[in-house]
Amino acid sequence: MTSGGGGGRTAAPRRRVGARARTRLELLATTVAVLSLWEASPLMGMQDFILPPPHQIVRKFLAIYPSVFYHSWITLVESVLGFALAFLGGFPLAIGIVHWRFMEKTVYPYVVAVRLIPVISIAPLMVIWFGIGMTPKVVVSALVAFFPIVVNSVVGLRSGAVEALKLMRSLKATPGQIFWKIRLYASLPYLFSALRVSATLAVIGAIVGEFVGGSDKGLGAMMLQAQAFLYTDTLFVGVVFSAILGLLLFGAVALVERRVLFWHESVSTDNP
Amino acid sequence: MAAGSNGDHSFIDVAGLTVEFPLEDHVVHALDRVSFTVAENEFVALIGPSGCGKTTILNVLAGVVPPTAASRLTLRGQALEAVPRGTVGYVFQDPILLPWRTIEDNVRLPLEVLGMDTPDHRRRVGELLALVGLTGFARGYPKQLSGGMKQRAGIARGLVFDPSLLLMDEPFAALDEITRTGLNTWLQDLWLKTRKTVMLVTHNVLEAVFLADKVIVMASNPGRIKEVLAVNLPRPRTLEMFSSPAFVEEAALIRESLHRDAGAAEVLP
Repeated sequence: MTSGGGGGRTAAPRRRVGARARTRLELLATTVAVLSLWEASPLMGMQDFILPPPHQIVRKFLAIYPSVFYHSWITLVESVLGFALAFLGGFPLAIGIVHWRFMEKTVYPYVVAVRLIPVISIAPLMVIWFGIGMTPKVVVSALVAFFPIVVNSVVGLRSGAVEALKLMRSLKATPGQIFWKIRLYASLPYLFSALRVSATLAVIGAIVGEFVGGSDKGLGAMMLQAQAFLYTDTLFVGVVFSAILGLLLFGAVALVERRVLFWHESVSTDNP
Repeated sequence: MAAGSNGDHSFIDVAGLTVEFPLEDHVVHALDRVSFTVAENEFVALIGPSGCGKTTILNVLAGVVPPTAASRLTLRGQALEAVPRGTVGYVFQDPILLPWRTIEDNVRLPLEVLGMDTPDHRRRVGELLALVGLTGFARGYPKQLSGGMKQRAGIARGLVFDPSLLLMDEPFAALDEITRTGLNTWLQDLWLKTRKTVMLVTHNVLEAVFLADKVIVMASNPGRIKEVLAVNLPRPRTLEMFSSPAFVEEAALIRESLHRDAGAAEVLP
């Protein structure tokens, strides 16, 4: 997805480079076509409070960008804190579930069951519990990001490269050695595939928290106000910046993944 | 090196070894009352069709698979469970190198596990890498190595803690003929130098004759020993001997034993 130099990829055959250039050209052409049609929409009778043309959105952004950056910053901080909380809680919990039968029997069923609750429906409760400051947003963000991390880490820690476990058992390794030398590393590809999903979920959670949180800070709050005044162009600015935040967190995880999983054949593994 | 020094002083003494794998509706006898002995410094090959339990014997000796209660196994006169850590080295069919460790660190892994990670032993890592011809790849990662190189790294890892028994499960089966012959010669040199007790599982009759003092011929369903044959050829054995009458005769004896009372399809490689 990144165009960044292609340093990690092996030199692709010329034909594939050509094919990729053509795909890009096609994508560019489609984008230009859609934007032109959008820009021309007022001429076809579209009112700008329903669908403001792109130039109006850009002009609006230039007019209010200091406040957009401020709200984005707030949401970014909430998302990062929520994501960190989800990781710091989720990964150790997964380790506990894998290593103690007691936790596997008592905690894991709840984790799987609670996962079925749309976490968004808990958001109003969080406002009652944690007030209207940053805390409830961070908590909602953490809750949304939490479950993929727990579930995938449990799978990853259990996978533990069966063959490598045989090697360790032939050496009569202790459970601690098996964990620190094998299971931890073998779980990393699974963990990172969950972290990439959770990074974008954390942003969604933070914005949902802002929607119901009744505060005046963050992209969610900014968008709610814009909605109240029918500032549709501001809403579009909010959507774009929400997407940018998601990409930012996703990109950060992908960057760390490349450095940590350099030894893995496919550097990024996807699994269900 | 006579294979017959039985009695109380065998290095390995296996009697009535039975291994069962319970399936849903019945029990598979991977091994049924297998008995044999191995003398110290002996090179023993286990040969037989797929599913005859060759690998299971190694797994039991390595403590990876439990035998049934009636089985009696001793190593140097000690019950198998009482054998200290670091007595048995295991080289697997798939080398099982950890992809996140350098070759050097893979070879060092047993030292870390066994609490032998001292400067003296670390020097051994370098020596062994030199011995298996991988010095230049010490800092490389497994995904950069060819199959033969990975397998040699696996052998170095099996030897690094100086075990008194080395188990090898078809270590060269996945390699091409040329690499395989080269490694067999190399393995014999290594054995002549170190005189470790080796148990080698193989599918290959010529490999067994070339390397072993004693060949245990097995049959499957249930896994059992058919015959134990001594290989009476002088050492060091050379590639030229492959066509000598004595070598051909030893190979024929093993092949004949493998095929006796067995469906042809069960034995053909």
